[in-house]
Amino acid sequence: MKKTLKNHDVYILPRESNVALVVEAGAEVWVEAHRAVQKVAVRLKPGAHLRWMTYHPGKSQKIFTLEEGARLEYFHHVLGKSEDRTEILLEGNESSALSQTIFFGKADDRQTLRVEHVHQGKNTHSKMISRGAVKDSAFGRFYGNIRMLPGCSGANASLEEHNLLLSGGCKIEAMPSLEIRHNEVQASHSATLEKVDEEKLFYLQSRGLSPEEGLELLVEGFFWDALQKCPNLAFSEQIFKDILKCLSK
Amino acid sequence: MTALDYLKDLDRSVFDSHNEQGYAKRAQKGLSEALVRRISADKKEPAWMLAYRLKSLEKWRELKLPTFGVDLSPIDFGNIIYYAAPDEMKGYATKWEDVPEDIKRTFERLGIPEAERKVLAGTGAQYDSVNAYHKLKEEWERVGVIFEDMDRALQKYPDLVKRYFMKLVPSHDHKFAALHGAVWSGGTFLYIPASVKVTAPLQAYFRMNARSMGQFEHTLIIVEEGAEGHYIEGCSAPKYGSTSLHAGSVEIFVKRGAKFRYSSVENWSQDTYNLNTKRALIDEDATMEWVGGNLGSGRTMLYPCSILKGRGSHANHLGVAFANTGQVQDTGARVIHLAPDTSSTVLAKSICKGGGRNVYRGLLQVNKGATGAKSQIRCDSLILDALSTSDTYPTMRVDEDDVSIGHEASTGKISEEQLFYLQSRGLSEDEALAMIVNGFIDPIVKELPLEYAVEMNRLIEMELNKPQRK
Repeated sequence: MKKTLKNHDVYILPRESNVALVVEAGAEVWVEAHRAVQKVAVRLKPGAHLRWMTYHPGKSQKIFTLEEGARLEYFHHVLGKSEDRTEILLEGNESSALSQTIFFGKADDRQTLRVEHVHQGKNTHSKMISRGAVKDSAFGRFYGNIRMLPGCSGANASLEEHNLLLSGGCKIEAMPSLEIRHNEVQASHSATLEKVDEEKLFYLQSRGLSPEEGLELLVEGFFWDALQKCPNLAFSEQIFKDILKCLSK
Repeated sequence: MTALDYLKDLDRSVFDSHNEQGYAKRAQKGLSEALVRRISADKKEPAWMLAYRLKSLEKWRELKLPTFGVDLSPIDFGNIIYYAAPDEMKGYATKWEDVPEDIKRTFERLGIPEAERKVLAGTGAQYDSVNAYHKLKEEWERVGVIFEDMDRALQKYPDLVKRYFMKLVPSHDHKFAALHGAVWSGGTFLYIPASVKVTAPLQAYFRMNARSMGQFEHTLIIVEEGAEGHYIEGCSAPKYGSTSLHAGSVEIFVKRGAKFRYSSVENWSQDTYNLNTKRALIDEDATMEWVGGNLGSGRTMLYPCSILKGRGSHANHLGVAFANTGQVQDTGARVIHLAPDTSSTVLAKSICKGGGRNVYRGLLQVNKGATGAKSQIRCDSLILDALSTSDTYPTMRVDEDDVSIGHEASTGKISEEQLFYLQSRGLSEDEALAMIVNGFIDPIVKELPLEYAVEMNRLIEMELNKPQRK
């Protein structure tokens, strides 16, 4: 299916196997997807601004191409089994992208999430954020990659990855990579993997919270900053409620 | 001559030049069972070692080249000399005067005896496949420290060697470990008895001289309970324009409460494929430190590995890599946490210029049961021009929830502002560049003994100035 999106469109992505979208030059568009769509290709024309929100498990593959001055804000939320690959190509000069992935795995969930930012145009900016938590015997994998191609002078990118391990049997694999083919750039990444801080939990209990309530509050603290970045608050609240449901099970 | 005088005139040509050696011309190229048997017979090895070599040769034939890292397909295994011993060397010398004249001259140019007199507790110098010189100061010999050429150690302490030899880097590990198992020759054997603290560093220098040479030295280090030591390795080879191969192996056993530091400056010529395997097994409350500089060799794949086996053990990795025109430096650190309360830190710095390619490829693994493991990894790279590239691939695999792991990395160019400031203070652009680069790698260089630190800084300055000299 092919579709052109115009200014102020709010578009709910249908459940189809292949979707090609074009966001018109200068348009400001919201797209929401509640189900896994197998393949999506999106082109942002010059100056277009796209806010993309997805909330689904399953298997999908997405490619975003940004022309000159285009702007993408991409919010991806995954609960449950998932295999996802997202590529954001900053093709035009001055284009910018923010991608944020939030994942939560429980029981025997297997989650493999790949996000790649490719800087091709000059003065392109991108930021990649990932926050993931796993419990039970879930296995979460996040592979974030920032690639800077020759000629992308003035490009600037950062990758931040934070992971929380909630129980003994779960696993996390993180690989935040940088592939830099040009020197007039700045790129950085940071990653952390940690468990819930016992001291904080103890402190909350000393203030009268039960251990379960304390854990909820800490998990909320871990995700909330990131969830608030999502422009649709109702969306983030729903995701947060679902995370808490998974936590208490 | 002061300890540093020889470094003032340090010149790449010192490392790149070679001696004409008749023996090398007569040496046989290619790898065969007959050659493996000959090496073993030459060294009068026990039967188990020959059996191990032959088993490794089988493995080498079975195993495929690694599929990650640098392209190794240009290596022509049939065109490499796997074993070459200078004619006049029948066993190594323990007095510098007894080392054959040609070889002595090479090592003197590299500054080996001078360094020994000044600062070292013991020195070894290997020339192609065999050791030319080995010496341990008496005070350390008296307390039971063993610092020997590996071939000689096998003769003198067969049981000790058998207990540890290729237990950490077994020949089935990968193709080059198998090759090493089949044709290893020379290297260092160091044994520090329990509670002995060797305060001065021990040094070995490995030199490849022959054309199309392969050097496969084996370094085996056993640091007993509560002991301490520091071992330094320097490496170089002349430039010929034909492929040389270095597939050494380093195994270090750090026992309970012991502390050991392994420093190396690898400066092979650009014809060399440097495919070294270095691993340490660290027991309870012991500490292992790796300090490494990779400057030479056309293609490097080197990932020192620490296995934190005992509770409370600690590993510390520091590394600098410099990739210039035509070089690929694929380096990194691997740390495996097996026991509770283990900790590790990794600091990797890389610089590339003139089309050089740097890759940081690290692994941090925390196995089930390694509760309370802590790790901090930092890798920074500096790209000096538009032709050069830098990749960072750190993998973190965690099977335990009670851990704390942090990783940080940054890549960028030298800040124009810093350059401009230094120039405004009267420095030339080259000097300013060298100063910034030296500052960038300083946290690692300052961990090296003085002579090596100066050598490393000078080598980097030389690399930085290369195009201007042409």
